[in-house]
Amino acid sequence: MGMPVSVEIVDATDTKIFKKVFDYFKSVDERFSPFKETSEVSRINNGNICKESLEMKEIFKLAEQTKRESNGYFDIFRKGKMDPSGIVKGWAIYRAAELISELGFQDFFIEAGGDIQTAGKKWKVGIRNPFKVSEIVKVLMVTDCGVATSGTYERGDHIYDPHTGLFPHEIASLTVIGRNILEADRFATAAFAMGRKGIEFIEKLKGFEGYMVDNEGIATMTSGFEKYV
Amino acid sequence: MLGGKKKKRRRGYFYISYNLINEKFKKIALSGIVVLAFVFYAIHEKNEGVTAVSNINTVIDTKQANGTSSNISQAGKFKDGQYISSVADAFFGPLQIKTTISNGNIIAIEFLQYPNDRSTSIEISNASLPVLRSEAIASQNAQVDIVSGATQTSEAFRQALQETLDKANL
Repeated sequence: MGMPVSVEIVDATDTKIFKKVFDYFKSVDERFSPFKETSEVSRINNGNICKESLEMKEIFKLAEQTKRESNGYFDIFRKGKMDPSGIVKGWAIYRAAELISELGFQDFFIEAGGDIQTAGKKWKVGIRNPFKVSEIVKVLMVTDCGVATSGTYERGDHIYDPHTGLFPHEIASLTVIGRNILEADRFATAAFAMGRKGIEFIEKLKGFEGYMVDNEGIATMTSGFEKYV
Repeated sequence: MLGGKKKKRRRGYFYISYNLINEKFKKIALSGIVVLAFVFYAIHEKNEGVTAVSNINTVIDTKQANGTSSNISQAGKFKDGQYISSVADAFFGPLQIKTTISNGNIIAIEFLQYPNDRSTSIEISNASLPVLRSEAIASQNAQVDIVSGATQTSEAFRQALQETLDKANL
């Protein structure tokens, strides 16, 4: 994945749990990084693998489900290669959160590459200005939520629309708040590929809210989004 | 030669004139043939069924008996006990079951391992969309715990990935 990971656990008394979490992310990176020749993703793409791991099978299953639910806008296969990054990040954060919960910790958050899972207490989450990284354009108060933002800092060249073979130019970022980061992330990725229609897709999903910023700096939000502000 | 029509006769064949058979008899004959066919089929199937079950019993005995002789009391029944399958690859994860036989019949099948099903159902509303609220984005002066956004680091990696895929030109 090659991205910074932040973990804050309110009731942690030593650093062991943090090591566990970071080791977990490292193992995910080893398996799923498309930049590592030895990763399972690279080996599959090079045709060098016979039997997928259980984790890869789980990712395939989630990808297939998301593809169906988004009418094909989410697709990990592109030009004959497989890139599951759009789903692995949220999935890994979700799994790491389970790991922390199972050890008895209640108030924490995990943030990786701009995607967040919170637990327990209320946490203040800012939405980054897609045009100015040092700025925040919205402040949210969330409890036990996943917050995922899909977007790009430059026009166009990011998430790929499998239907047209093009990259959508219409919007700069789309933030999705859901019951957990796994759900929020996969729908944020799918919805971003839909361009302006993405926010309508999120509106139709029960239990999810969204905040879309277009290329002109106008934000559109779903009807229940205000409850997080 | 006497007068009248010459009757056709084929040596070796029993020739029946179609017009001489009563319609009623024809129906009875047809029904009889159908019934006979079913009877033969049923007998055949019954024999097959008994043979198959005997084979299963033999297989179970071989696995469970540990060298002792078979003691199946009745033909066509399973041997009482609990049987655990090996772990099978069900594509989305491992699958293993335990079957419980009592009085020769299957009374329970239990999943010891099943594919990890993380599927969460989603509901999509079919109601028409309300008009969604819009606003111009504005910088907020507030301290936050965490920031959500497409980070430059992940963004750079995604673009680099796209570049490599384009170079591969697949």
